[in-house]
Amino acid sequence: MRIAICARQVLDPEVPPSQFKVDEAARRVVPPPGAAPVVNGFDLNAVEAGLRIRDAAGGQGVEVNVFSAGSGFVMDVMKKPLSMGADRLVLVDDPALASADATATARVLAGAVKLDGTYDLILCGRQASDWDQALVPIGVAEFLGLPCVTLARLITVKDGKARIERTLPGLVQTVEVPLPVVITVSNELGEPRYPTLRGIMAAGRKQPVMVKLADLGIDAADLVPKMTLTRLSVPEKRRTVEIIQGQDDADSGRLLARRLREEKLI
Amino acid sequence: MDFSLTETQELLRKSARAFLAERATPSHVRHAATSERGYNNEFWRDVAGLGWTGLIIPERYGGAGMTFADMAVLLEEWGAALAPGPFVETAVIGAAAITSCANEEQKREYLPRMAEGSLIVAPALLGEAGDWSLSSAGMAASVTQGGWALRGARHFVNYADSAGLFIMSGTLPGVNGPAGAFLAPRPVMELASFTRMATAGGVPTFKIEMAGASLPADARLETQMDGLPVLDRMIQMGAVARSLQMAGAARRVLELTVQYVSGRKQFGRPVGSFQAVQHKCADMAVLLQGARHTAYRAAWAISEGRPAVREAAIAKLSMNEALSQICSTAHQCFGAIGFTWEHDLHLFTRRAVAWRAEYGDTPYHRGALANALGL
Repeated sequence: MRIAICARQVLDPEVPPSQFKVDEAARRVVPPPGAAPVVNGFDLNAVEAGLRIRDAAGGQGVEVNVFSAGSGFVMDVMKKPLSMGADRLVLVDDPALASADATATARVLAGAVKLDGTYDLILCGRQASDWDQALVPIGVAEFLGLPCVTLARLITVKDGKARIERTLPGLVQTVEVPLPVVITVSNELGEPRYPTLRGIMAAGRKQPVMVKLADLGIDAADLVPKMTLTRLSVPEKRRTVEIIQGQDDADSGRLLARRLREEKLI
Repeated sequence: MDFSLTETQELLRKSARAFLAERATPSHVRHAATSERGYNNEFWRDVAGLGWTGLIIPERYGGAGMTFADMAVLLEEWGAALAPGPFVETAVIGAAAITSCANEEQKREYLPRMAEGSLIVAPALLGEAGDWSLSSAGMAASVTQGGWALRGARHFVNYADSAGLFIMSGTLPGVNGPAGAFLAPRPVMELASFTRMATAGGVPTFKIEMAGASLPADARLETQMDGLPVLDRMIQMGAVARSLQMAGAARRVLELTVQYVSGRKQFGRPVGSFQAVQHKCADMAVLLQGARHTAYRAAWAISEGRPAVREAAIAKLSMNEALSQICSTAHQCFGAIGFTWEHDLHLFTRRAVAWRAEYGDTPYHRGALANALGL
C-alpha cells in the first residue's frame, strides 16, 4: 500500500498575538522577526494517520510519502514528517507557488502525486492554519478524479476499502469507501507522535526529492490566482461592559444568568 | 569552528522544544519539585522512549551514538523548560564516564539500561560544605582482600533515592594525587545512610554516609578520561551541561520578560516602551548571548575530545554570572507579580541558585581557570 500525505509549511500559529501584524497596504501578513515556520498542525495529524496505518500493518508493505508545494522551504521544518517516520519527502519548490491559491496548489500537489506513481490513500490535514480554507484536499481529489472524505478521526484500511470515522459537531459518522481515496484528517485523530532520536537521525540522512513545475507539465503562468485578495485586516476588537445590578446579590445573580442565557452563553 | 546547528540538531531542538513545552509545563515542574522522587516516572519513560537518555551512548549499547555537541542542543531546551529528572546525572555524566572508563562487562550491564531509562545514575562527588576540590577528604577508599571499601560521606547527591548506580569519588590510600571514581550499584549501598538535604532548586538531594561498603576490585573506573583525571572530566562535563541548561533557562526568562513588558501597560502604554525597561531587556540579551556562546564553545571542545579545561571554566563562570543577573533584572521588570509564589519566575531564580553551586561554583572555576592559565 502507498500513502501520500500532503503537507504545507505555514507561519507558526502559536506566534503571540502581540507580534501578529498585517501590512494592510501590501495585503499580507508580516512574519514576526525570527519567527520560524512550522508544518501545518492538521497535516501532522495526517502524517500520524498514515503512520498508524503502517503500524497496524506491522510496519511492512506500507509506504508513507509526504508531498508539499510551495516556495522557500526550511528543510529542518519540512523534514519533521520524515523524523516522525515517513519514508520520503517530495517537494515542489517554485517561486510561483508563493502566491498560489488553493486551486493552483491542489493542481500542483495532484500532479506531483500522480508523477510519483499509484497511491491508495492521499491524506491531508483538514485545513491549513494560514488561510483556513480547507479547499486544497478537495481540489486534489478533483484533479485526481478520486472521492474525498473529510474530517476523519479514525481510518482503518481493509480489503481494498477505507473505513472512516468522521467527526461532526455532536455526532460521529462512519463511512466506507473503496481505495484510492482522498481523506482529510482532523485533530480528533490524536496527537502526532514526537520524533525519536533514531527518527531524527534518519531524517537528517534523507534528502528530499525536488520536483520542478516543468516536471509536472505545468507552466508558472497557469498558476496565477483566480481569486484576488482585495483587503486584509485584523478585525477590530470591541469590548463592551455591562453592569448587571439587582436589588441584592441573589437578584443580581438571577439577572446575570438570564442575560447570559439571552446571549446563548449558557 | 562552526557554531551553527546542523539540520539534525535543528530537528532535535525543535522536537525537544515542542515535547518539553507540552510535557514539562510549569505546573508539571511545580508538582515534581514537591514530590518525593523529584520527577514523574511517566515523563521519564517518555523521555527515554524518545531516545534522549541514550543520546551519547554508543549504538552497540543501545544508544544513539550522537555527540556531546548534539547533547548540548537538548540540554539547552531541557534547561529552558526546567524539566525535572536525573538527565544530566544519568544521560550525560554517567553515560560518558561509563562509556569511557568502565570495563566491557560493566558497559554491557549498565549502558543499555541507562539508554532505555530503567537505570538512574547518581554521581556522588562532593565533600562536605560544597567543596568541589577533588583532594578534599570525606570519602576514603581502602584496599581490601576482595577489592575496595568506601568509608565516609558524600554530600549534595541529586536523585540518590532513585538511583540504581552510584559513581562515588574517594581518596586513595597512600596516593597524593587525584581521587578515584568507583561504581557502586544499589545493593552495595544498602547499608549506607541517606539523609535528604534542604536545597533551593526543588531537586531531591541527599547526604550519603558509608561505613565501609565493599566493592569488587573492578569497581574503580579508569583513571583517565579524554586525557584528564576521570573525576575532573566528570565535573567538567557536569559544569558544561549545567551551563547549557542555564543558557536555556536564561533564554526563557528573557522571553517571559519581553512578553510581560510588551503587554503590561502603565501610564497608558506598555512598560516595554519605556527606554529604561528596554535597556534592562537589552542588557539581559547581551549577557545571555555572550555566556551562551561560551557554553556551546565548551560543548564543542568536549565533543572533539579536547581537555576543554579553560572552556568549561569560562562557560560555568559566565553562566553563573549571567543567569543570576538575568533573573535579578527579570524580577525588577516584573515588579510585584514576579515575587509571588503563583508566578513562574521564582522557579527559574531558585533553580539558578542551585545550578550556580553545582559542578563547580564560581570560586572553584576561577581557580580552575587560573591554574589553566598558569597563574
